[in-house]
Amino acid sequence: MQINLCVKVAWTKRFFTPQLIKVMKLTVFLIFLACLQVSAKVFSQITLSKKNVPLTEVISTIQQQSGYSFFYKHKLVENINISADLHNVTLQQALDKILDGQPLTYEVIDKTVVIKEKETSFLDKLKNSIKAELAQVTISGKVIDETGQPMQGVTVREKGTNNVIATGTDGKFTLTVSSNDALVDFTYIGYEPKEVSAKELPKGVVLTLSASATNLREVTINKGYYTEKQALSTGDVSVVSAKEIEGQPVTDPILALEGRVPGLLITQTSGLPGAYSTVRLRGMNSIANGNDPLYIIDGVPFSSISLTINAGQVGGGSVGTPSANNFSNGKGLSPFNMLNPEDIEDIEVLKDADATAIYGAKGANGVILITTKKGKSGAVKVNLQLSQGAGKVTRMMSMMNTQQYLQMERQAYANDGLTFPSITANPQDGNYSINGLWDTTRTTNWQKILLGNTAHYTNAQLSLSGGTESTSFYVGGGFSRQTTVFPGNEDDGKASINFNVNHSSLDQRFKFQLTGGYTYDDNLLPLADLTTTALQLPPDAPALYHPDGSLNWQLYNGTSTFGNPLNYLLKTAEAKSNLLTGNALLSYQLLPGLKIQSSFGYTDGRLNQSNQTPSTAIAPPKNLITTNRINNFGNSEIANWIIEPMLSYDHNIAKGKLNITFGSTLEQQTINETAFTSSGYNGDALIPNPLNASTFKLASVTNTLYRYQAIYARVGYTWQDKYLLNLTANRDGSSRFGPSNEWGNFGAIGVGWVFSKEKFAENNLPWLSFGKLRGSYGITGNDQIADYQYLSSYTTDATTYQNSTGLVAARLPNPYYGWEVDKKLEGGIELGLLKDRINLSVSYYQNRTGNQLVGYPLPNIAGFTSIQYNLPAVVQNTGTEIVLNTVNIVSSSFRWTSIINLSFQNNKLVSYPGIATSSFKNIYTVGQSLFTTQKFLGTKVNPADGTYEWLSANGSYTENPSYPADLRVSAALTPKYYGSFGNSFTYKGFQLDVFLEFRKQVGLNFLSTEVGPPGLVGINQPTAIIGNTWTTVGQEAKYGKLSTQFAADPNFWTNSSDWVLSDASFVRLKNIALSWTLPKSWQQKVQLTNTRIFLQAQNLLTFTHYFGLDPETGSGALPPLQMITVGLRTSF
Amino acid sequence: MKTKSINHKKYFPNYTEIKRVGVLGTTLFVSILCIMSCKKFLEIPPPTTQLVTASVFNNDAAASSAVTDIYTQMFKYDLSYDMANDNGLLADELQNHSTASQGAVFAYFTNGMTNSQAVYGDWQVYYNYSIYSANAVIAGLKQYSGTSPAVKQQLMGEAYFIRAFCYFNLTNCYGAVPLALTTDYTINEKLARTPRVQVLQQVISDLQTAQGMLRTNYVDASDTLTTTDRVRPTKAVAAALLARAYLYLGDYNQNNTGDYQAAIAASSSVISNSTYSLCANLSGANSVFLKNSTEAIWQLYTPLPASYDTYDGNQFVLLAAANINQSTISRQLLNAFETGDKRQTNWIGTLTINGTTYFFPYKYKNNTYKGQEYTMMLRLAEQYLIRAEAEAELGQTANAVADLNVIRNRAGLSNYAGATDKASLLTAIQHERQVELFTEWGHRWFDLNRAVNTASTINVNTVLGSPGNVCQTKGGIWSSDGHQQLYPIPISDIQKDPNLTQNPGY
Repeated sequence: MQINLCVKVAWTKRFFTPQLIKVMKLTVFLIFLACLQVSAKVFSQITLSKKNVPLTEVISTIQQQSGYSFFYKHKLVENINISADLHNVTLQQALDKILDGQPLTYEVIDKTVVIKEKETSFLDKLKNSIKAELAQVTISGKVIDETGQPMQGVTVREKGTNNVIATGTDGKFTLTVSSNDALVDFTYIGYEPKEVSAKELPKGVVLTLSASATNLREVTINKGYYTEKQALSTGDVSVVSAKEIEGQPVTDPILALEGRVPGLLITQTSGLPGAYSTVRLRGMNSIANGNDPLYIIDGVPFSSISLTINAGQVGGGSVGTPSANNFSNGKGLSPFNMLNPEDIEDIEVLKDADATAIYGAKGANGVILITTKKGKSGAVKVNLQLSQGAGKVTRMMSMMNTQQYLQMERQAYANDGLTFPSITANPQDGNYSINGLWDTTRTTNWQKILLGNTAHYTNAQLSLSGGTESTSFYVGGGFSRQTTVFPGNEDDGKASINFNVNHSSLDQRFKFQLTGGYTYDDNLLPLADLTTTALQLPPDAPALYHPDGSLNWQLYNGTSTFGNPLNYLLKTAEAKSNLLTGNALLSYQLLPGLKIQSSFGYTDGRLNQSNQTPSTAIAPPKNLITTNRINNFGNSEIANWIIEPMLSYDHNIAKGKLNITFGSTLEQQTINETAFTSSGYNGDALIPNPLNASTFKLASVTNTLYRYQAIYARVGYTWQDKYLLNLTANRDGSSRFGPSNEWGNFGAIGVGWVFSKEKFAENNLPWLSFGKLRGSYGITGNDQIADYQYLSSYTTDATTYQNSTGLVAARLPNPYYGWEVDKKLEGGIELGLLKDRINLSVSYYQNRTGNQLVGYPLPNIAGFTSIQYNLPAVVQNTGTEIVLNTVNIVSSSFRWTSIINLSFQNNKLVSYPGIATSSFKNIYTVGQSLFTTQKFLGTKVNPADGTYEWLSANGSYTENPSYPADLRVSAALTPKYYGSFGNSFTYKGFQLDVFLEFRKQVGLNFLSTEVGPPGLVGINQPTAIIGNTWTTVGQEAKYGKLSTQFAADPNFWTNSSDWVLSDASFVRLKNIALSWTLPKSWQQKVQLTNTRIFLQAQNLLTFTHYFGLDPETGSGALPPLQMITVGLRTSF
Repeated sequence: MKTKSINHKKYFPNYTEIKRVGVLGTTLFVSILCIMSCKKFLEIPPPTTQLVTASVFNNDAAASSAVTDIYTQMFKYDLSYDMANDNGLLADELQNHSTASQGAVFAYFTNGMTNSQAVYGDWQVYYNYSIYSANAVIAGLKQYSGTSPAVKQQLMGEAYFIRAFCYFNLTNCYGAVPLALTTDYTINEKLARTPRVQVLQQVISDLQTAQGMLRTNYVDASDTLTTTDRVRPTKAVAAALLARAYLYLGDYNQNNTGDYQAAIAASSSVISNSTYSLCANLSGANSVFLKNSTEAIWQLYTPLPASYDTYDGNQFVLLAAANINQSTISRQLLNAFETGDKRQTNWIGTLTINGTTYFFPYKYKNNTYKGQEYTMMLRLAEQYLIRAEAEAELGQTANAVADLNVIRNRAGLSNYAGATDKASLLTAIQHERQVELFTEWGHRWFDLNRAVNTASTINVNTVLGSPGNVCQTKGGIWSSDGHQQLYPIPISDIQKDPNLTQNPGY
């Protein structure tokens, strides 16, 4: 239907071209002149009786009765209805009668009646104008969006007239309309229009326009230092709204972005609450370092560094210590777990050079802007949200039972030619699972026991907002708690409060905004992730508890034979985090268009960790040794301040708008860490007080200082909202570079062309509601390396020699390295079709990073295993990102919209002069992705003897490949493509969102996390290998001969080969959110608004062929949880 | 702001506000200018936990700390125990209690080291923590002149000595090794291996340099004042290591007589030094392995705080049944003692658990920290044996027997009564070294290896190699090419250094 209609419209437009209309007008004029020559006499008698009919109908009747021709402009008479009752009157009388009171008069020329406009007399005019003047009403007020932000450029029109104005920068409008009854339309593209009668608009009214669900194009995006409409942006920006975030039961807001932004790949390292996620925007630019995007919360940079102390086994609280190795995923507590998802208004992801340029070097890996909720003027409104849920592990593996396990071990021993151990012959060999020390009639599904519990989730949020037009506030507070699927009640609890105050002077020139927040998180999760234990523990392992409730160590001659995995229940592992954030923004409009602004931000994050081990948690007989009672603890602090003065100037030049922004940034970040170890307690009760320790030691002290300084200028010019230009220049300085290398000059250019506003498009492409081509190119830098690498210095060694403290060389210094340089190119097209029912956006980018900053690995001979270095290598990331938004069905009660995100990403090491002689020769390959590794390829089992074989350099298979000569490039361990498919259905009060995430990738499989191939004693294996191992000569088997040996035949090279790689693609039903808004009538009775009951499910289903636990987190960490929550949201 | 004449009334109906604006605007603007002109903002001070290199080597105490920390690192990385245990397992001194899948030291015991990602020996400790640090001290002291001359000379001498000590041990474990003599990574990352003889010659050259710089007396943390702690190198310490280096060089340098003569000269200078005398007691009061014993030439101070006196004592002294990572005395070593040898009774401990008797090295008595023992680096008894061997090589039979008897007599044994031909004498001295120096710094393993080049009938191939011999009883296979004499070079370094090659056979 829709399409037919459009064709019709197009047809009409095409036929009524301006030329045609001109010809018609001319013809009419000539006919009119001809008619003037005809004189008329009126004899006819007219009789008619009509009630409220169109004037044309009456004229037509008179024409028939009189025989006179009528000549009139159709425009003059349309919409005029009259009533007339005439009996045998003359034509003249008839005409006088019917035209009485109409703004028309007539003239009879020969046999033609010409009806024309009445020339009003001066007096009439005066009378009318006074009358109109008296009826006129002036309305004024302000238009805001749903977030409370004033909306500029909203069209305010008196309905059916040309009486129209647009709202100003402050969202305000004043319009004089003809009468109190006049209807006023408020329209803004991308927003639901509003029609209000003038009498319902008291002076100073505040109207809220809500965004129409499909089109975010008209959304004002915040590029930090300036804002612009998405439609007029030359850069590539994606926005995730509060609506999308609140539909997901996550405690870490970063997880809410997963799959929702093209080009942004988020990978959870573990399903534990508070676990770190790896965030990569458009691949990996830097070989060794600094691939984290820049995070900005309300204008203040937020460090993505985990505060978890990486020293002295202080305990990460839940997820261990962060990895110092940059090649692997970072671990530790996620700093984003300190943010309350409920406080977030939206998250914007800035991707290309143009969008990120103003952030200078810090935005090299993209910028993620997090905006918190702000106060809205109006009566105080209270929002309440309560939810409760439960979670399970997404996937488990089928592992062997005791019978299968013992059978495997017997085979392995037989293959090795060894005697199966017995309790008498080898009492202490650690073969407890097979030598009879453990009851081999037991079978336990350890995954069920250790990972099969239910995690509980509770979330309660309350916020207040309100204020006057000049001063408004927002206060939000929340509490959430999540337990694990492990045995016990260990939990992660979080409480937070956030506030915002806005004030503007009456003349709107002075504005002040203060935003702040405080979060407290108490993470009591166990120190160790039990996942690996759950998979590896032999199925005949002893019971966890004695009948008396104490831990079972399965003693043999007083020595434990069972490292009871539940020992953590007796230990204390705690990580308490505090985060304080504050931001003040002052601005003043000096002259029209000229604004001066200053922003001051401060962030302070603290983490206190402690890890206490009582003797009861230690396996006998070591539990008797007092030095094994330990209390290790530490604290770390990250403090960050930023000052950003800015001058901006807006001016209209010709038919365009010019914006010039000029400013500076001054930033400092300090990180301090102190860790202590203590041991040697005489009793468990003494452990909490370190003064009772016999040994108390300062394990580590770290303090770093980072300073950053930048000057930037931006010129934006928009001509008739059609041609867009954006120029940015930066000069950035970083303290991470040695003297004389601190500064770098960078810049970007972005251009855009809204071709749908061109005449040819408007006239010929009626189905095209929006069309924009954009492109950008920019150069930026990267300084995400460790501090002080240029400095030749010594570090204090806490121990003394001859009573004098030691000094140890801190590093191999290199004073010469400088900025890593990123060159980014992007092109994109954005289309809106069929009145924005279909929106398509396609972007292509190419990022090239050179002058690579690496911790260049060195042999031990050099004294240190790495040095900071600018490597003359180039890394290229190219990719295509597609977003398709569609409104599938809209009716008054039902609405169905869809969104498809698809990202293709390709990484390549373009050049690396001298790689063959460099230390990267066995790690990276020129022409290949940095995500590849070098492995022995083509793993197969030799049917003759059951050993594994690999392809050698000469193409033949060998069981003893040459290292490194036979190493070959493996598949890239990153998605080939990934994306999501979301559907949203609204039916009356119901809303259903279904969100699928998918990735096509190769990953490390279950085998990579095992300590070795099947057959090793004390390690259980998946049932998938049963019947697939080599047993007889000539057998083609998937797995080689079972063996108890790892670092020997036949298993020697398995872990260095593609044996550990397999397909890890998946489609995940990431999120389902169902909500029901209570009928208004019900709500009004209890004086509530926006009351909704919701049911949300995260990670509900996973479709994959992955060999292992979960294709996202791999097999060595807890898989993401399947979380189902129910809750209530209401306001009053 | 106010300098230009602006139509105030047009823009600001309320003139008093202009003043406020002026103040605010000017403040903000000045702050911008201030920031842009503040060039020193990026020049950050070093972290409080670090001292810049210039200030380290312009200050006596700091420079001294940079040197003494190298000894701390040697202690921390268990150099003494590692050398004793790894080499003791490779040879026929120690018994291992693990199986392949359990103990990391299993490969040493079965002579089964392979070309794998595992790093065998203390390659990293020597290169990362000792040699680099020593080179950095040499470079720092040469570049900066803020230290007092006496301190500078002593510290420089110690740095050369440390470098020599490390290369001596490295070349005996790995054969030809890269010779890093600077801190310049562009040179070091591409170093090729230097043949063993040249490495030993460099060791000797460094020791001679050190000897010329070091003080005669043992110094305390001031680097100049005398102390009773024998924990810092002196001229005599350098001479003692020099004696050993010359002896080894003689063997590897085609039995060069000049080297043996130099070994005699160096060891004689130590033996004749009145500071040193053999301890009459092997255990108890005034015995050999106590801190600052009269026999000690150089010991490692126990860095504080500590949880044991020496890591050797902490690991070797058994309190419970030996676990998979602990080593006990082998049957071969137990059988090597002559009847009545006081060393067997004093230096070997026994512990019987569940009917199993464990024999363990008991030179160090303390398993935990008591502040009584220091780690022995060089001691006088070895100097007698060095001199005896060099004399035997040069045919000075009487002198050799005399020196040998000094050691035998102290152990309660009678004078040597065996044959005095060169081969017999060398074999006897080698045996004496076996029972005197067991589980100290891998002497036995090095002795067996260099014996391949001497007239001694007992060498690594005859002891470990022939069928039914030690390697086989340990559960390993001795390769006929004898490549197991040397540790494999760590693969990770071969991958990073294009000129570094693997030892043959791996």
